[in-house]
Amino acid sequence: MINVIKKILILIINCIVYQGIIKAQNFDAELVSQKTDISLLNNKLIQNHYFEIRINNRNGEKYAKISIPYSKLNQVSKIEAYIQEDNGTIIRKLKKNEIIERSSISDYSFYEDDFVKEFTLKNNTYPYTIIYSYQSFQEEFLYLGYWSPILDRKVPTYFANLTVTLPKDYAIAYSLQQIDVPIIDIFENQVHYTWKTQYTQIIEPEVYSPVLRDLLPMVTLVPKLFKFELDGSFESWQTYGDWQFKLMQELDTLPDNEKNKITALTHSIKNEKEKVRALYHYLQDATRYINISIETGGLKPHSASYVSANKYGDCKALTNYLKSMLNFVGIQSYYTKILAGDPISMIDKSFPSQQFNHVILYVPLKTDTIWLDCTSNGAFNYLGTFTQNREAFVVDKNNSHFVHTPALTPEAVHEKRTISISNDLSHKSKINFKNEYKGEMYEQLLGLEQSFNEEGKARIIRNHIVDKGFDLVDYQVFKTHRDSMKIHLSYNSYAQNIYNEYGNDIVLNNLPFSLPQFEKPTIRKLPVQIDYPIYKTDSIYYELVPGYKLVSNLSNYSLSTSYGTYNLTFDIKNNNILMVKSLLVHSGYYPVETYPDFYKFMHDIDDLERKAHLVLTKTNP
Amino acid sequence: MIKIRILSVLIFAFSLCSLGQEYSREFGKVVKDDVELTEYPADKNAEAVVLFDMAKSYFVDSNNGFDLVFERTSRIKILTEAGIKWAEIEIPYYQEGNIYEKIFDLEAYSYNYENGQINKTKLDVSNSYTEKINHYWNLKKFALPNVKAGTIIEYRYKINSQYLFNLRDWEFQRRIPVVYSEYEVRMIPFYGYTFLLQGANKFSSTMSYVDKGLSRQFGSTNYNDYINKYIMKDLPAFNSEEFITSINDYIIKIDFQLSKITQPNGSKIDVMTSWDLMIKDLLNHASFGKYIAKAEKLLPSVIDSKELESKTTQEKFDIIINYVKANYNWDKMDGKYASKLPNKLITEKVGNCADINLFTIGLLNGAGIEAYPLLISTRENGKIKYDYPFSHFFDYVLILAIIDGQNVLSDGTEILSLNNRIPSRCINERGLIVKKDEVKWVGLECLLPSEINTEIAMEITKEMDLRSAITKTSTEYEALYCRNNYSDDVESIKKKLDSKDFTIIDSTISVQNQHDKNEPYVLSYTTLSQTSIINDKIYLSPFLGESLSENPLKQPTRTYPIDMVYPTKRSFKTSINIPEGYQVYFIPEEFKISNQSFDFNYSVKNEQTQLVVSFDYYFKKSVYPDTDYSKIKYYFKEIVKKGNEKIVLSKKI
Repeated sequence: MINVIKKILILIINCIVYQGIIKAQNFDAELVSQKTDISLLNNKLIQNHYFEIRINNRNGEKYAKISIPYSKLNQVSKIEAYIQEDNGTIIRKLKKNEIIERSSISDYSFYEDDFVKEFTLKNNTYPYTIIYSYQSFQEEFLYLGYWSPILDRKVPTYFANLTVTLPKDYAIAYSLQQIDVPIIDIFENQVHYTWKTQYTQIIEPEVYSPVLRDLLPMVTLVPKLFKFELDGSFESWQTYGDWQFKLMQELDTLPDNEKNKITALTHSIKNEKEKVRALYHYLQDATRYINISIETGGLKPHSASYVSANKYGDCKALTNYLKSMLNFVGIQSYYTKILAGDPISMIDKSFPSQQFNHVILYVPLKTDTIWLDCTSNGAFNYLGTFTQNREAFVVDKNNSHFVHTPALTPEAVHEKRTISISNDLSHKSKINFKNEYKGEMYEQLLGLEQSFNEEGKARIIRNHIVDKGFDLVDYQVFKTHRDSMKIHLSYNSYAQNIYNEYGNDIVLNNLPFSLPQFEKPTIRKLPVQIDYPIYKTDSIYYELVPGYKLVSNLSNYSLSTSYGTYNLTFDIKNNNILMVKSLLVHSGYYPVETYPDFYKFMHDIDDLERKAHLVLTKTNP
Repeated sequence: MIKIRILSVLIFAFSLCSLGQEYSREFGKVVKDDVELTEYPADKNAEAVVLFDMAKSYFVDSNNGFDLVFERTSRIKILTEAGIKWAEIEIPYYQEGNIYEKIFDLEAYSYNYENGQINKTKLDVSNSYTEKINHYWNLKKFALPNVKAGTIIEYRYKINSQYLFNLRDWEFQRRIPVVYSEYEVRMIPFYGYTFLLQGANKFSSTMSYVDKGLSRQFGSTNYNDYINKYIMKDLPAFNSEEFITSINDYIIKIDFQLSKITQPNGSKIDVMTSWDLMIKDLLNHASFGKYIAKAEKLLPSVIDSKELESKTTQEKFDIIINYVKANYNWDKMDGKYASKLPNKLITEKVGNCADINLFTIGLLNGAGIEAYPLLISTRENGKIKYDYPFSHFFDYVLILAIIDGQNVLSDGTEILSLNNRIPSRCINERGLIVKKDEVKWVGLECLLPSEINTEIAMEITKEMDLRSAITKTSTEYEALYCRNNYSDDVESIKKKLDSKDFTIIDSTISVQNQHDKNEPYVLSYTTLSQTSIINDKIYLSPFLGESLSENPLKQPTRTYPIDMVYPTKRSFKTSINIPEGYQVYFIPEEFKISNQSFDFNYSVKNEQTQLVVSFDYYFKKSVYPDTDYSKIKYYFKEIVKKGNEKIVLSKKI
């Protein structure tokens, strides 16, 4: 006890005297200073980077491993690094032979020609500071700078400075996120831009929070005129689209055997939409998605003839291939760039530049508009949770423009389950599930189908999809037809905790929906962003138990708020109690001020969901 | 159209006379049975099947004597969409110092049966890539073109290697079924290898014969290759299950190790024919035995000799281990050889497990403590075959010190663990002491149970909320887990514990003994939650959500042992104050299991105003054989059931 009091006393004293230090010691590591200087030399881009990372304790040492990215297009030189103690003493300098080079390939890629240079600088007394700098050099570039002075979301940045020095007549555009406007100085024929920022309020991910990257300070700079394989311009979206269009010219030639095949597949089809469907099916059946990103920063697709020969490609190559096939049968379609992801991150439309990470195909027919994700094995004209409801950039000669992709409606994400539970007092109720999934679960189950063998599928369904506490007996996954936008999963299972006998009573446990675990309002810091609705309906049949009668009064519940609705109804059907629960949460964006209200809605549902509503009692005790 | 008809007649005719399938084993030649295979009869769920997988290792003359060439030819039939991933090929090869492995003569094709004919597509080798994994390893990668369900793919390549120690091993079994697998090793008189077959008792067939071709010459020796051929047929897919040590322990494969070098003049050098020789070799190795000797001399430069004066052996041991744990980081790399000189380790302060532990052994020796390296195989690496002196079994080295006549095992990489404990990743049967003129194995098994003891004091407040004061006491590996993952950072513990089931009452979280590793780690906090009341009755879960809520064993059957690493013990004790106006309506039944391998006790004491519910279970063994699977699964089922049973209180009438 004395120890504790002593500790507290020391803490209090420290707080008064060394407030700054105490604050600093709270973090395992800190980015004390980060400086980037950008300039041009004979139209080549030179960036000098400087980092000062303070390691405060052993946990912080994961930040003592430094990775510097490089590639053929982005060469790195002049790496210098050393360890410095707080009093300014340099303890040791990095030696060249301590730097290790390796490939850096994202999980979703088969190959990328990106690499990192890595080294670790460790000291055994804390705190200590790692100071390192390097220069990168690019001959061709789309960005002058893509600057976000954050080491890691969990590490604060105290001082960050970006300077950009350019000839006066060099036209640029920039986009700012969570950062003030620059100070601009003009000397003779040069312009200096200076940005300063810091990041001290650590952002933690929360349930249904917006994309965290969008909440960090960032400066993106592009030249108005650029050369990246071809000359191009970011003057407007249209000029950028024209560059992309030119980049793809002559990539649409199909070999003769392919043309014959397409003709054979489509010549007897009159309806345009059906032609598109036939070719989409052909694409799905004949090709596979493999991401190989090399050279031109991944903006130029592999040609249609490459896909035709190899029968694989990434999103760009497969989209260009289908576009070429449609073109061959006289149907106009558009290569369309999009920022895919869930949650949605917004495109800065005031800033024409390369802000996309995915490509889809847009096919506006006379009577219908069709959207195709050429990397998907899902239904025809299904844009999933990763591309729905956002701005998409349609590339067209002299006419590139934005089109908004359709939003997933409640009906399009409705998950329905019919659950029949047999009574059993020996703790082994047999339960049959007939589930129908759309939306996200549809996509997940399709993915399962595509990536796992029976054994793996069974394991994932048993361990992750079947509700906790249920023992899977057998299961079946099926679609009624290939373009169905729903998938069925039925299974039999056992559970030991549905019918619970307590003396003369039997309490029937509820089967709660699996709902997102929202933070309590006292800790929630970020807004809620729900990009597509949550819509679930369960119809649960509980078998009555002979010799017992229902003692609960079957009161229905109904909640309705601006966030959504929840309904719970009971009915007696034959020898069963039928309980129907339905939950709809609308898509929406709720600032943190209204969060308590939103939380209450979700919490009220949760309370009802986890409560046992049904009690049976012995007729003749 | 006519073509198809002819073919279907042919199929009919063939299917009358042939029952067994005849798949081609010739590169470039695809036969009817290969094409017609749509479902592999022995495994109807297989996503793909290896039709043949054949390799050869042989010696070729080179500037420095000999190089080894490994030549592989494989064919796979893709059966379902999920099987398409088998058409993405990765070939690892090694490059370091004077070893410069090289892949050459790579060819690959895919075959599709379309419109009555077989279409062959060649891999454009310019569509193959090299991934640099780390300093030593590269991956050659390519994706076969034109692949879908039904495609046959085949590829072949050669690897040239200067590394004669590493005659490539051969895995006969894969994660998909294998129809035919063959490994041919062409030996020359100068290098002798021993081999070890794992996962099977015998080959489908083997052949050994002297090559009948022209004889070869090296120096004044004329010789012919001596050919060994190992063949396995119809192997099932390897399926890994949950809770096993390592795939390496179970997959069918053959390993080779260089055992003898014969000079052209006839003199022989034994390389590693016994554990004895292996130990000798290691003790002379610059990155092992000599490394320890170097480290020994460095003791005075890192630890003040005054500090060690007049200390007992135990105290010296702790000073040194604590010094190492406080000053060096493990880079998460396993290995039995040091990767850098001790001096460099002192400067860089980061190293692999051998760097850190061999260095520590040196320091211990320097302080006059008898300490030896203990070679082990981590759980991930698999088991050691004690009858086969293969050095590659080992992938890790621990510290064995003798203190007051007792063997003490230690590991400088596991900072928060006791100095006389090893990390759980290292608990894997036995380790070999590397000590001159002695071959001795030491058991690594942990006999002490790791325990979590949960005590809960529950009461129902006037507002009818449930207030629970919880104290969790953890020992051994459970304590280590808590120290590594929770530490004593109250804010982060609060976040980790947060649940919508309860709120934690402010400033009730406390941690004891985060740093006093000799004592159990104790975490306490008090929660407030809603009392569940149905029809005027109060339903209480005596252990809240603390007991296991789900059976971890979900598979219906099991073919491998259930490895729980160390014995585990859990105990719960909850006291419930019965609120005024209420009485006990229902309490769960007592339950007891007690046998040599498992204990289970559940009991309730009703003391009128207070109920005391006690529950404990103890898995006494760390490993249970697969034959115990249904028993263990049943134990877990009872644990889940009893641990979640409710107490019901009703209003007094």
